[in-house]
Amino acid sequence: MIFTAVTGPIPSGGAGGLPRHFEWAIVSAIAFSFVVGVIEIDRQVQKTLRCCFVPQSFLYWFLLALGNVVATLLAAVLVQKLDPSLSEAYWLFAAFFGVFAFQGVLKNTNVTISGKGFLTIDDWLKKALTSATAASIAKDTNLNDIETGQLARELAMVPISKLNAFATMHLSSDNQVSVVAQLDAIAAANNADPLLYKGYAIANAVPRSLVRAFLR
Amino acid sequence: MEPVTAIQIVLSANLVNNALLRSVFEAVARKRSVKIRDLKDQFSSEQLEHSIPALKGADLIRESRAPIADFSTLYVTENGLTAERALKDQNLMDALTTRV
Repeated sequence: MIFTAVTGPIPSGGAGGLPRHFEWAIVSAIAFSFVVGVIEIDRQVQKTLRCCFVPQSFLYWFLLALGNVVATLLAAVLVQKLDPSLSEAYWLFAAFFGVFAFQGVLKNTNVTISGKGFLTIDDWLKKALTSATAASIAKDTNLNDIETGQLARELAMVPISKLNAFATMHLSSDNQVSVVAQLDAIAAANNADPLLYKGYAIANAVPRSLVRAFLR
Repeated sequence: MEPVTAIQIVLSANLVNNALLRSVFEAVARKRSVKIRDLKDQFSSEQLEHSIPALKGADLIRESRAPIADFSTLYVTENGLTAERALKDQNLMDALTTRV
């Protein structure tokens, strides 16, 4: 029914019909859902934006857009009660009020099956958001580890005197012992390659742009 | 449904009455992902040896392994995010402490 309303002929406005340019309201609601979704996932993940584009994010965006479009449809009928001089902007009000209505009212609506409370739409959204957040964190960790490992291996190929000098300049030492001696001691205690250990220590602590400049 | 799931996760992971597990978990969850080497600044190796497998076993965190163990990354999972939200919810925590 929703899709019939969207794809069918759009009434030019008036009693009982949908506002002019109603399709713009739907597109605006979908676009707004996308922006809100990206902001929300990014806020939860607390990492780079690039990791937020995972399949689970699209499910969250879909649910958000669906709710916003339904609320925009309902709001479209109500906005026609506004001042007729604003009729050209009815579509904008429909999208605006629709999205806010969804945030405020529909998200708290219970879905019931056979008279039993099933889940609120908000619960569905929270689950989808948590799933998208977890997948984004896993993707970020994976990408970050690949880049760090690559840099560490490149650093391990650098002559040891140059690597030690770079480590001394850019890594802070906890006490009086030099950072190079500390790293060598930890690598020996862990039976690890000291060059690779220093490479990892640098790749993790020093900004990537600085490390890349050093490697050039 | 959400609070029940969160309670089950938090209880099964023993996060309420094991302060060490909770501290290590919170250190990972707060940053979303953290290197084991960075955790060693806050916790002893023995504490981590005990708590990391327990948290991994409860599927609250996972490990992305590096050739050198210190540089392996621990990151929070979907279960972990649900548990983190529960731990932040004071009402839920009150309910949990009453139950244990």
